Amino acid sequence: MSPHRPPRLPEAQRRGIARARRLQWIWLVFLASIVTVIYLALGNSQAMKTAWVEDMLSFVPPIAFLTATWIEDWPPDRRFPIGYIRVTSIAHLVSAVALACVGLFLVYDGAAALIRTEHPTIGSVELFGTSVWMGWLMIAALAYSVVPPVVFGRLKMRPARELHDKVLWADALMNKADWMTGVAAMAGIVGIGFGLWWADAAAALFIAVDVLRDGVRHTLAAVRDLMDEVPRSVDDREVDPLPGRVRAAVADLPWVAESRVRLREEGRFITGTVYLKPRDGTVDPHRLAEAESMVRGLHWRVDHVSLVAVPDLSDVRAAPV
Amino acid sequence: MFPVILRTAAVLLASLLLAGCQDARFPRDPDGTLDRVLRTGVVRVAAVDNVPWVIVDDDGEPAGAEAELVRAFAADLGVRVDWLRAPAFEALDALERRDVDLAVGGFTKAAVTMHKGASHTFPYVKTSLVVAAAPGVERPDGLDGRTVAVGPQLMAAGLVEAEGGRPVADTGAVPLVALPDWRAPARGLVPTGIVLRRDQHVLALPQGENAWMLRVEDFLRRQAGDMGARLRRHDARSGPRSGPP
Repeated sequence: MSPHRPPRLPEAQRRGIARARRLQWIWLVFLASIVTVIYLALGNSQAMKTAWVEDMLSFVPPIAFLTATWIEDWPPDRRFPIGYIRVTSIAHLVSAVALACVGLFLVYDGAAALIRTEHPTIGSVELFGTSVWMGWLMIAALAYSVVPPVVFGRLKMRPARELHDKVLWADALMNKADWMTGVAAMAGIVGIGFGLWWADAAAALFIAVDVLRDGVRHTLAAVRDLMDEVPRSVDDREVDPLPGRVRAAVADLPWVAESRVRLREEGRFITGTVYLKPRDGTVDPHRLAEAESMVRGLHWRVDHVSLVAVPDLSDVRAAPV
Repeated sequence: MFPVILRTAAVLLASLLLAGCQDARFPRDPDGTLDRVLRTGVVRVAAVDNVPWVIVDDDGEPAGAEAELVRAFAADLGVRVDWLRAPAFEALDALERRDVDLAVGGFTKAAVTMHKGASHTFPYVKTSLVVAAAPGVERPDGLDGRTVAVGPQLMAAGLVEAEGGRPVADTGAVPLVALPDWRAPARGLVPTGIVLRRDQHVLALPQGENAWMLRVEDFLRRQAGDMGARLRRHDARSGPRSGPP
């Protein structure tokens, strides 16, 4: 019996990951074009600067996803005998912390601009022989930045759910929220145009608070995952039903008197140990192996679960599920 | 709840954009500078003595290339100029306090950017401090060890030394001369391609007055004309003043 096999993703999930990777590559190209367009139109607007930084930040989750799905597949070796499946959780944490730090910086930057009562000056450019207020160009650039993230955010949600990929999920959420950033920045510039100097910094602050909130939420979720919190659904809203199904399946075995499960999330997988007390006080190893493959058959995500027969469950440190 | 907020924001933005398109006065000034200038018929301009950009005499109106430009701008707006003489730093401070609407005096973009309360137009003229040679004189690629005449009040000796040259006072007898590029044609000199410093010249404005800024920049685009010629003309006129004390 080998308690830790390399994860064998079913064919459907393998294809799903390949599709999601392609999607992310296309998205990176779009993102690069957005960042370039915004940079070219970047003027003295605080909101515009904040939106640009947020767009730059949007590079982190896709890159984290591409890196994690690449490493995740490496087979276990001498140094990492369990394999590399946890890299997904680390990628989640890394992108969340990056998000939170930049959010903090942007909140400070926007608040400081408000407190110093900085009046943003936006100049003009010559277009077709007339002087055009640069604010219009900024708004045009932001309008371009609004559409692609919404489309890609929606496209990423389904694979994130199917693959139970929290990095992809966080990324999709960020993209979906991104269009608010663009609209807020536009409102800031229109506000400047109407002579409201504070509109811009206020819009920047609004965007920054949103970035910070996202960052803190995802950091906490990633830390909880790494702390082996009971597995939760990809949107973090509810407790994952899979551990309950594992427990019920083991409890249903006629030769099992009592059982405890100690499961956690490692990347997209559910791993851990099921402790069971055989009814006769002993169990045939073949029977144990049979039960283990039954448990693994419950769902593709249940893969690193081992069954351990013990004479007494009172020594097992596991909260009852 | 969020979709509602978003939809509201979108509608708000759309209406703002529509309003913006219909209103000729877009962008507007937070402090209403352009409106006030047009209403009162007076533009308050800080003049910083800096030959030949602005030449402030003891009495009478300031002369100089940029003073001329300001008068043309005021004529364009149909207002008169209220001149205030000030040193450079105070002129920029006055912009921040909204005591003046415009400050001129050969300001560079770098100098105005350093002052938090002031903003600047696009660099409407670029000048450089170059090393020029008399016609027929061999034009070197570098200065290494060569003697370069530095005109009075140029403060370029350090720049010449940094390029490896040996600065001396301008006696007219030295084949290489450091001077502003626009001055070279008047003295019959040919630039060597060695540039000691580049300056981006701007007019200084109060921060955030975007309608006012748009009006000034539009004027500069249309009417600034050949600033090199203007500078040379005022340079010649103020000849004795730019000589050694």
